Formats: sequence, C-alpha cells, structure tokens
Amino acid sequence: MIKIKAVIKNFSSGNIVTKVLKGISLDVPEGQFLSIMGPSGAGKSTLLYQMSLLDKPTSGSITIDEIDTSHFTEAQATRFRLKNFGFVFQDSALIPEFTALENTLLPSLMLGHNYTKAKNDAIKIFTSFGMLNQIDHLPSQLSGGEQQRVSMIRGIVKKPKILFADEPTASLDTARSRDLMSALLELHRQGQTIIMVSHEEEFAKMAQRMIHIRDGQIEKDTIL
Amino acid sequence: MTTQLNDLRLIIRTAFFIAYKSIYRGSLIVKLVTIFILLLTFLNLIVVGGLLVGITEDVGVKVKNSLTGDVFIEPSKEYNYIQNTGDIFSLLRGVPGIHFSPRLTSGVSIEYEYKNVGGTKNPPRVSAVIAGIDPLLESQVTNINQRIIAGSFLNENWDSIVLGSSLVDGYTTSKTGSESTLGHVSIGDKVRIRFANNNLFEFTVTGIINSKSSTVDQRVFVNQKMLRQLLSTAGDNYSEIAIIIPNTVAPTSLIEELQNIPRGDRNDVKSSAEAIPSAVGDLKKAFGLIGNLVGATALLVGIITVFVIIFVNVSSRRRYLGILKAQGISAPTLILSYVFQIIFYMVIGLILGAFTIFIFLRPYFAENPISLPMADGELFLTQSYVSIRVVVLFVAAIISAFIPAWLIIRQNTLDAILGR
Repeated sequence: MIKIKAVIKNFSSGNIVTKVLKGISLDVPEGQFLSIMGPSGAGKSTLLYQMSLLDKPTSGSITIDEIDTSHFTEAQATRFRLKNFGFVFQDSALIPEFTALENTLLPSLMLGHNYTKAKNDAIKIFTSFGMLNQIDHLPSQLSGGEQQRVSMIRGIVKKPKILFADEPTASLDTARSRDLMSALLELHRQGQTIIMVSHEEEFAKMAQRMIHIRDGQIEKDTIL
Repeated sequence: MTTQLNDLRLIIRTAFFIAYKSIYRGSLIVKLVTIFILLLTFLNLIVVGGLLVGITEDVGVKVKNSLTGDVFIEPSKEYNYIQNTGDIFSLLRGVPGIHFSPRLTSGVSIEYEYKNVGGTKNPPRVSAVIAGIDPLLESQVTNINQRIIAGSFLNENWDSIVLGSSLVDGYTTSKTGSESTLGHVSIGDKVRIRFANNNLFEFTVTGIINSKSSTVDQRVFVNQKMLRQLLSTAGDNYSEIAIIIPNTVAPTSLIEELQNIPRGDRNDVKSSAEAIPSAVGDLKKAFGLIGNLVGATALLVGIITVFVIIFVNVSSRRRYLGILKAQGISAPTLILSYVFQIIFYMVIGLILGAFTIFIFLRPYFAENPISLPMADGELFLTQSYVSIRVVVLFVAAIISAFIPAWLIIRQNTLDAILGR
C-alpha cells in the first residue's frame, strides 16, 4: 500500500543542515497496524509527516497505491489526503465553535457526501465509541479523553484508506490512553490500515508491527 | 469542467458550513465590534458625503430659485442689453405653463446716513447691483418675495427698495468682515442711490432679503418702471430674463429655440446649472472632493480595522486551520469561509446603516437642515450615490477579509499544526 524508498529529509537553518531521515525504505501493506517507536528527536514524527504528505522529503520516493506522490503540488496533496487519509494528532485541536458532531462532518462535506448521510455515518461511529450523548457538546464541554476520541472519529468518519496517528495518547492519562488504544485496535480488526507514532512502548507494542527509529534510520523492524 | 464545477460547489458548501457555524457560535463581542465598525464605515461613507453634496446641491437650488429659474438669458459680453426681446417674449408667451421675469440691472453706489455726516467725513457707501423687477412677474419665477427677513417685499410706492442682506449689518452671517456694508439699516430708513449717469435718488427701505444666494443678497431691488426712468433707458431694454418652464418642456429644446430666433446668438442663453456663478461651481467641486476624501478615509480606517480583526482571528486559529488542511479541507475553502463571514457582517451592517439613514437621519436633516450662510444642508442621497458606495464597501470588506485569511492559511500546513 505504502512504499517508501530511500527517503531523506534534511532541515536547513542558515548554513547548518540537520539530517533527520537518512535514507529510510519501508513497505506498509494494506490493513497493517504499524507503530513507529524511537527516542525523542529520532525522526519518527518526521517520517509520519512524509508518509502522510504533510511534508515533502528532500529526496527519495513515496508511492501510495501505486501512485508516486513525489511531484504532488500542495493542492494535489490536500486533495489526496482528503480522499485517502485520516489523522489523529497529539492535541485533538477541535474547532471550539463546532459541536463534537460538526467537527467530524467537515471532511465528509468536502468529499461531497450528503449532509444527512454524513451525519448518520458520524452518529453511528459516535455510538460505537459510546459517545452518542456528547455529539452536541462543544469541545469545551468534553474531557481530554473525549476530545481525543472525537478527533479520532473525525479521522475515520470518511473511511480513509490509512489512519495516521501522531502520539495520540501523549496528552491522555493511562486509563484514557488504553481506551483510545482499544478503539484503534478495534478499527484495525475491522481492516483499517493504521500508522501510529508513539514514544510509549506499552502502546506501540499493541500494534501488529513495530519499527524502531534511531538517528534517522530504522534500527529494528518487528512483527508482533 | 464538470469536475471543476463540482469541486467549486463542494468548496462553497463546506465554506458556507464553516462560516455559518462560526457566526452562529462565534464570540458575541467580536461579532458586535465587526458589525459596528462596518456600520460606522457605511454611515461615514454615505452621511458625510451626502451632507456635503446636499449643501452643494442646495447652493444650486438657491441660485435657481432666487435668480436664474430653469433657463436664464443674459446679453453677450459685447452688448449691454438682451437682443430682440420682442421675439423672445412672443416665443415664451406661446408656450403654455412658462413664466418669465425680465429684469433691468445696473451697477450703482448706495449711501446711508448721508444726512448725518458733515465736513470731510464720508457716509457709509457700498457698490452693488440694482435690479429693477416687476414684483408680480418675479414672484411667479423666483421665491425672493418669500425670503424677506425684515419688513416687506417691494410695494407700489415708487421709492420702495429692498436691500440684500449682505449689504447691511445684523441680518446675515455670510460676511467675511472685509466686505463693506451700509451698517445697521432699519426698515423705513432712507438710502441714496448714485447711478452711473450721476443721477441721485433717495429710496425708502421697505425690506431686507436673505435668499442664501450671494448674488441676490448683494443686490438691491426696486420697481422696474422707476429704474427705467432713472436710467433713461428704452422700454425693451432688459439685462436678464429668468424663465420657469413646465415639466413638459425640455430646457435644452427651449434654449435651442431661444438661440435660433433672429439675433438670438447675441444673447447668452443658459440652463440653471450653467448659470451658476463659477465660484459656486468651484465650491460644489471642492465640497464633492472633501466628501470623497472623508469617505475614502473612513473606508480606509474601516477596512484596516476589519483586516486586523480577521488577521487576529485567523492567526489565533492557525493550528485548527492547519489540522483542517491536514484532513483535506482546502485552503480556498477556509479562505472563502472568512469571506462569507464578512459578507454576512457586511449585510447586517448595511441593513442597520440603511435603517439609521432612511428612518432617522434623512427625515431628521429634512426637518432640521444644517443652516449655512449659502445653503441649507440636507442629506442628499441618490440611488447611484448609495449603490456605488455600497458596492465599494462590499468589495473593500471582502478584500480586507480575504488578504489576512490568505496570508495565514496559505502557510505550510505542517508549520501551522506544529505552531512553527
């Protein structure tokens, strides 16, 4: 599904060039739950941003479903993300004026889904997440864990091919982190491809496959 | 093409959804401030200019109502009197509904309190234009008989005289201080007129006129027959003819006919607009320019304020907007959502502004016009005047929302998410 070949990512600041990813190659097949582990500054989030087309590698290629994304413009990348990707970030970043339900509807509306259908689809997911009573709550009326679940619903409501999760449990306590991981595992059981970055081994090990990154290179690739 | 149209439809739909929810649940203070700023900008744009235009329009109206009528005839520079008045009068009498007042004018010197001054001391003396009029005909053409502010209009007495308010003290505020006057003349007092042929005649002041038209207020009016005798001029000599025409007659066609009579080209035939003294025309231009400058300044302040409000709003939401872009909500969609919001605030501002102007301000100024020496200022609004300003304000508001939204939203998505 995702083929990454010799991806290098450098950051420049003045004359100083920092090499963050040093030629990473990786294949992620459809339906896999991949976790990316590594110490702080190893390049795990940077790798996720390249794979999810939020950033462009300095060199190397990223092919998704046989489509070479190297020459995508910003608009093309946005359109591709809309059709194929869902995201869960460390901070839920829900729009404060939108209810939980409304926050999850925007990607579906942008895809051209009928409003009623989009709403019904979202309500089904809210129900499965045990959050039906919170759909009309504003983000300020939700707990941190609930906000993160809404963020996850927003990521999956349009049924993306790949769900990217960047440290989704980082801002949650242990109990709520486990709840969120259970939800991710359930999604994976239903066939969802998930790529997750985590610095917490306990949660990273819940995935199907785990790669360790150190100094911009894959140190270990383990099927769990 | 179909795909592009469909994409556009989705962009508009999603932008509208975001805008609607943001307006519905956005900060009340921000909403009120934005609407208030747009309302004030609209009022400033319409009212200040409208009042200035109203004043300048009224200057023209005053000149028309007190001096020129709809069409005004004067002799060309080479002639002392209007040529072929017989044919002119025949032509005018042949058109139903036309009224005209032929006048005889001359430059004179007016003296006051000449009996009380002795020795080498000179009496108060001013130069002015004396106009000999037929009071009945004049009242059918101009309203000067209604503009008497002291005493009464010309009566049947041969020595009756009406003085323009600019020639006396105590009746007008239009004097600059440098203009000479006769002093405090009272009704019933005597003034002496010295003509160019050195004839002297004593008149009794029966009234003071203040028409707010400087040309009229610097004149004195006497009975035409009396003036004709004093000037020893023929009965068909006239210096000016003011004509009022009915709505069924176009001024341009009457002007053309008057110019086409024999020796008609020796007369200067003008519409009321053309007959306005050049100083008044310059004043109108100056007021129009000031109105536009004030409007432009108001517009600039308004759009900069809207720009700042939107800029602060978008900047504070940079992270949310980055996450939405990551989810695939395109930059044009997010920018358009801000444009929709400002359009909504603009419409509310315009409705409130229109309500304020047409329900309160215009009736108020119609009842209580701003009284200036040369005119009474009402709020002058035409459809084109208002429409142009509404369109300008709309475009300016949209640009002032678009630019800050575009500046922030076009930035790199990842930088926005990570707050870099």
